[in-house]
Amino acid sequence: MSRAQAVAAEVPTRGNRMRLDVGATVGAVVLLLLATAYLWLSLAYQVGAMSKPGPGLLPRLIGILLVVASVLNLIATLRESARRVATGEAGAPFEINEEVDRPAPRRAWATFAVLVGFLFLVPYLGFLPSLCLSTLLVMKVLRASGWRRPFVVAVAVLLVCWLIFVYLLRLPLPVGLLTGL
Amino acid sequence: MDTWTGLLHGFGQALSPELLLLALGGAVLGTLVGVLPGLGPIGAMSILLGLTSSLGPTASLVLFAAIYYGTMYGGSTTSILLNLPGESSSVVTAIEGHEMAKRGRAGAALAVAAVGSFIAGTVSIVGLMLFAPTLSRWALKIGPPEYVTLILAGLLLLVFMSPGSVVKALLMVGVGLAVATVGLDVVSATARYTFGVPELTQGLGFIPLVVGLFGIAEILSVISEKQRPGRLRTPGYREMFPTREERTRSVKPVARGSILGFLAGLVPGPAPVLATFASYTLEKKLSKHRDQFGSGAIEGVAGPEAANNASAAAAFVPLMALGIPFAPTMAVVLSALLLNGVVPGPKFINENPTLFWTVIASMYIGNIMLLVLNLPLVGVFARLITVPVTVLMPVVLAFTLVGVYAANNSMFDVAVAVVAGLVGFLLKRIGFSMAPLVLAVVLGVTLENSLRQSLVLSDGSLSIFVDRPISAAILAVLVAAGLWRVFTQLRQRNTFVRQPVQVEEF
Repeated sequence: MSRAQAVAAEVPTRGNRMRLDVGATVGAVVLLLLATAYLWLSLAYQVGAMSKPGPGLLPRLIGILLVVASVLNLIATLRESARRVATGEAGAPFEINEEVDRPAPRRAWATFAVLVGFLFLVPYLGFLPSLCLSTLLVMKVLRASGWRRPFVVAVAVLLVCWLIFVYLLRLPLPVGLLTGL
Repeated sequence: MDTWTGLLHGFGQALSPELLLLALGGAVLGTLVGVLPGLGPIGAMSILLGLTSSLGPTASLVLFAAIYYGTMYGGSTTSILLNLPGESSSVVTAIEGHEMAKRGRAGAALAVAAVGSFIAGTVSIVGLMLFAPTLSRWALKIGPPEYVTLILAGLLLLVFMSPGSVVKALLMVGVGLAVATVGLDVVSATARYTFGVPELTQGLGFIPLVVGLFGIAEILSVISEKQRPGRLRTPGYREMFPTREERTRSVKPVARGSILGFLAGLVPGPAPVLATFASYTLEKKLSKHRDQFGSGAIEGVAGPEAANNASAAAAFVPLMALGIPFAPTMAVVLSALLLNGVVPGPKFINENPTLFWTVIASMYIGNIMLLVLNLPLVGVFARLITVPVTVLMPVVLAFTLVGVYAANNSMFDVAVAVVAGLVGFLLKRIGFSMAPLVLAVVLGVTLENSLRQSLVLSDGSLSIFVDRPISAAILAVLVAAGLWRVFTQLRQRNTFVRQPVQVEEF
């Protein structure tokens, strides 16, 4: 895509960029909340005297740093967001690229879901069978066409992992209640 | 052990078939990882961390060092051929390198990059070899107060030097330090931030965190980007020879890049990235062919490529001499050593001379291997980029999960890595960088212990940090760096206004 096309493509996706800014703002707020929680929890630990510092000293200092930094970050994020909306400015070159190759965060979320599923499956199916299954699912999440190739890849992963970790390194991988593998 | 006996002894060890094979494997793997955008040296090393306890400390270091500089070679290949930098340290190479490729000089660019990398890598290993033992002898004199200032300086320099927002980097340092406080406080036996979860009393493991924040987060980023199929044309052997003019024009940039890269590697921060940018700017200023910059000036390939390799070897200096990793990659190397019961610090080289010299020797060998491998096989490596993401990423992900489990035989660690992966992915999307976070996690525990020891030593007076000369000197450097950052930020503010115009021409 040429530069001109890239710039042209940018106009209809302006809504998309504003959504990105919403993400940054939500992120900044969450960080501030977590920072406050961390500082608040640190009050439970003894700071001690300066000559005999207790377990609370560093958490207290870090907590203050976190709160200050996350407030500044929130301000900067809001300002940047407001400035872009006001001026409709193109922003940094990397963001233009990001819009041309529109990111698909849904795939990342779906992959994360598969990984969480993997964690819950391991006690029942065992490590390697769960790994094989989740490899298959991740490939489908990424829109691998058909079933044969994903299946072959997943089984290959299973065999290679078994060969390296179980056979060669004698590592005891968790065994499943249901499968005994 | 003096330098020559040490080196001879090291070569004696490093030439064993096992270590040669590991160096070769690491070099190949590193090159492959370097070629692939998204997967970097940290990801590759953290996947392999699980293997290190069966390999032993020497073999692990040999493998990891080979991977690290292998990625520096590999990253340039796709930069030049496809304008797709495999690593952040090869972004600059793409500017001039890909222009050269368009003019049909891809072969020459690749050859200059490889040879320049080899020379710089070798120069830098010589520096490591001569500098690290001296520095560690000096480091024996430092106590808890110096560790406090050194770690603070390390973290804050990283904040100042990171590209992008200082506030964001500082916030990540805070998050990292906060993560490091999770677990049982050994001095007072107080459980901090454990929320009654028994696994948390030991703290959050560094390995699952780094695997999540770099490995899994990176995979999630790669799969959520639209794939760009590249048109690949690899140059033939004949094209590999640079012309006489290209050769002479590359000599000085390589020399300058080597020195610049080595120095950049010694300070905390994303050394390879900074070194390449600095070298490019320097070459552009000094070149007689300034008009060719932007349309394929060979100096712009030779200098930065030398610089990133030099910084890779230099990064080992602070780790081996002080026991403090100044780069996330080195933090992973540190955990490989810790998994093997080796604790680096000022005494490390003296107590483990065989380990030190074997690793040095294997670095020389690995560099030669990379030079020999890279030139003839450049086409094979570059073709890797045509493996579809739909196959590659699930496979890498699977190995990552086994790797995390194997490092500590713990499913809890796997869960930590998965969660850290999502957190890292989200943080990166909103413009945070993971390097300050990860380094703060590693350095946090030492920072807290040293701080408390210092305060006990000084009976609660903070003057201990300025009264001791080494500590005061470190603080002075820190203040200078802070002022420099403020100064450049002010200057940048003016250039930012002009930037969008430049971008259109880019």
